[in-house]
Amino acid sequence: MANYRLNSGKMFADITDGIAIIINSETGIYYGMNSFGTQVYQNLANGVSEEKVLNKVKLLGGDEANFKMFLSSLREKEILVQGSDTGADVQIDENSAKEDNYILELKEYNDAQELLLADPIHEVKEEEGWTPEKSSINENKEDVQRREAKMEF
Amino acid sequence: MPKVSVIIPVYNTEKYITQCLDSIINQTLNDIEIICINDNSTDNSLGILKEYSSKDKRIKIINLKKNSGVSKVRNEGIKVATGEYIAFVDSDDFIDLDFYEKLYNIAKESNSDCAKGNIFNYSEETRLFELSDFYNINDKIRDNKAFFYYGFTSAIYKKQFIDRLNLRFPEGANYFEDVYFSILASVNYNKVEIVDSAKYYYRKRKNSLSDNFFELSKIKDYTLVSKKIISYLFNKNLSEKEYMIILDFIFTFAKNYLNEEKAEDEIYGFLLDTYNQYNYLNNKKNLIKILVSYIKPSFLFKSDIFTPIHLGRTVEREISKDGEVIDSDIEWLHKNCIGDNDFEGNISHLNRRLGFFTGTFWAWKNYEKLGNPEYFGSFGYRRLFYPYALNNLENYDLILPLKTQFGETLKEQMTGHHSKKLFDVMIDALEKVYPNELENASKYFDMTEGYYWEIYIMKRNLFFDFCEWINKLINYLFSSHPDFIKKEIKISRTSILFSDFTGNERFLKNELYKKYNEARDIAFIIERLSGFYFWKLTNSKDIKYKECAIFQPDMSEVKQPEYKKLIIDQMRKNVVKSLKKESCL
Repeated sequence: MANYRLNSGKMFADITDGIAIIINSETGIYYGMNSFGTQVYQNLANGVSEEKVLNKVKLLGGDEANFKMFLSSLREKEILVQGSDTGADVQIDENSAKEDNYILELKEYNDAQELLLADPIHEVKEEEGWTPEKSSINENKEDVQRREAKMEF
Repeated sequence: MPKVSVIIPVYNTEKYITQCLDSIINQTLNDIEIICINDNSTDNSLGILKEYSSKDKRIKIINLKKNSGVSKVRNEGIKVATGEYIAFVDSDDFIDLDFYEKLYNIAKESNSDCAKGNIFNYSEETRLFELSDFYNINDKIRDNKAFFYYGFTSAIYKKQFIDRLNLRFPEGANYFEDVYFSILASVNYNKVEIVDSAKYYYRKRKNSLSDNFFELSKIKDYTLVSKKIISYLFNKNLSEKEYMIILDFIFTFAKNYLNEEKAEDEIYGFLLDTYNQYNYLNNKKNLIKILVSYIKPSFLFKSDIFTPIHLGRTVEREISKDGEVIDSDIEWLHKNCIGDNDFEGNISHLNRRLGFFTGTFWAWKNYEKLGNPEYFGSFGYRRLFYPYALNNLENYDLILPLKTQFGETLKEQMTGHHSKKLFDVMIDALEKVYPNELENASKYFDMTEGYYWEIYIMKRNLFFDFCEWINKLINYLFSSHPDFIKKEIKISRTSILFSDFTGNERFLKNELYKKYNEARDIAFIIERLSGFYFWKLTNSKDIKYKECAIFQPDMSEVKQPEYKKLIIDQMRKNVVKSLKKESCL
């Protein structure tokens, strides 16, 4: 019985409005899932066993092959890595499974790659913006050091 | 005579009133009267009151035929109360069963006009008891009774005391009326006894009116009531500390309202009205003039004390820190303000590098035009002292803003916020112009707090000395750096990529703005050097000074959309879009 967890050393996950966005901070690629996929991913990332999740998916009307493919993609993309059983119960909303026609989807996007590689995602306050690149600050280090010495800072 | 009269205003609280009444009729202090005033409720509140009063003769009902508002209702209660002490409970709140016993006993023993318990919040949503926002207020009240501006329902008041003062709630106001009552009581009672273990529970309702903080009618009530409070206090012989405690509370409230654009006129109007109470200072002699600096139109601070000045009139159409100006802005500025360029030798054209100082320079060189006042002050149109700055003015030589605190030294703050180069230039100027001051400057810039904003009030001689001192430095800065001391910020690639990805240009614009900010290079230096100069003055034993809070919109309260969130939102939009597209196919 396999268990998983988010590969948090590499991946950043955000789930809002039932849609998971997973960002690979090393490659700048991000992944999106449909609602059904998001719920299955959430259960797996919470340490619910593969078996329990699969049973629930099948019970709801999902397809085992589709589940296997979905899980294999999550592992292949290194979104999920091996974890331990947290004893959590499986929870999947029937309606969202139905709305997605019982199909689990994981999609890959590279349109933010350049941005994410230029500046890995972190908090920046709007009023402050990004810290300018150091090379753009024109300063004479020797002068500063000389004055600092004089000022006894 | 009952020991305590409990006054309960009731308006449409059928859901809660039983819990309220149960907590009162079962008090361990039995000898009480319970006055329920139904304010023309449209639900079954009155029916419930009648049911309770039929079983408990201590309950009296007053049924108002017209909705009158909470202040008038409570006043009706005071009118008919016969108890030795008076208490108030809101009909959706409740109290511990020994609440009145504890308060009455201590008030009686100590012959106090007032005894106060503790307030806890009860969240209807979570059904949890929480510490109130003012949970530590009792400790503060122990220190100074002026802190009792909140939580009047958690106390009992001697009836004789209320009658002697003719203390009533301000009719016509349904908001902040409690603060009025609390403050007027607190500045008058002989003492307050505090019993922390006597507990009052304030119900936080999900749809409660008091949650809609920014409602305009509430803001109007707030200003109406606050004006009444301030004018009452003005004629009361309060200690400076008490006065500051109360006004700090009132104006900090007002400051929060500034984040609501529609409330600005109301709030600034209130601030000006409060300042106008000090106009008498200029009655006998020209005691004080304060220049209020404008670059764009805003609320007009113009009075016997305030003189609005348009900074940078010579370059009025050039971009400023406040953004672009349009024709109507210029018209307003010319109509309402004096200009900083109306004399020969003015430095108005340097405003975009010097900031506030072009106005200060005008005052220095045209002091007689201001009527040669004994005190001079400098404010910004969105940056003023709380009005208690003028309290006991003549006892002081200098009034400064509260020191700004940083988690780093002032040197680090300047180098981090601007650049090392700017700091370096500043020190170079000091070294060249006032070499003897370097040691002191070293101490100051190594501190983690200092005087910022170039807001001050000072005696004429101090002002002249200051202008002379700073002007020499400015002259040096201009001669050594005739051009902007540029940090040469390049717009970051990330910023451009971000704008491309999200379509959101705000970060990009902010970087451009930041770049413009560098044009105020000397202004930033002046701000720091002024702070240093003021600090030096405060170290002189001959100078009497006080520090005041600054009234300005609190930017930290404004929620800025976060970079991360904006990117992820865009990603989510892309995902949803592509999933939809696929399902259509």
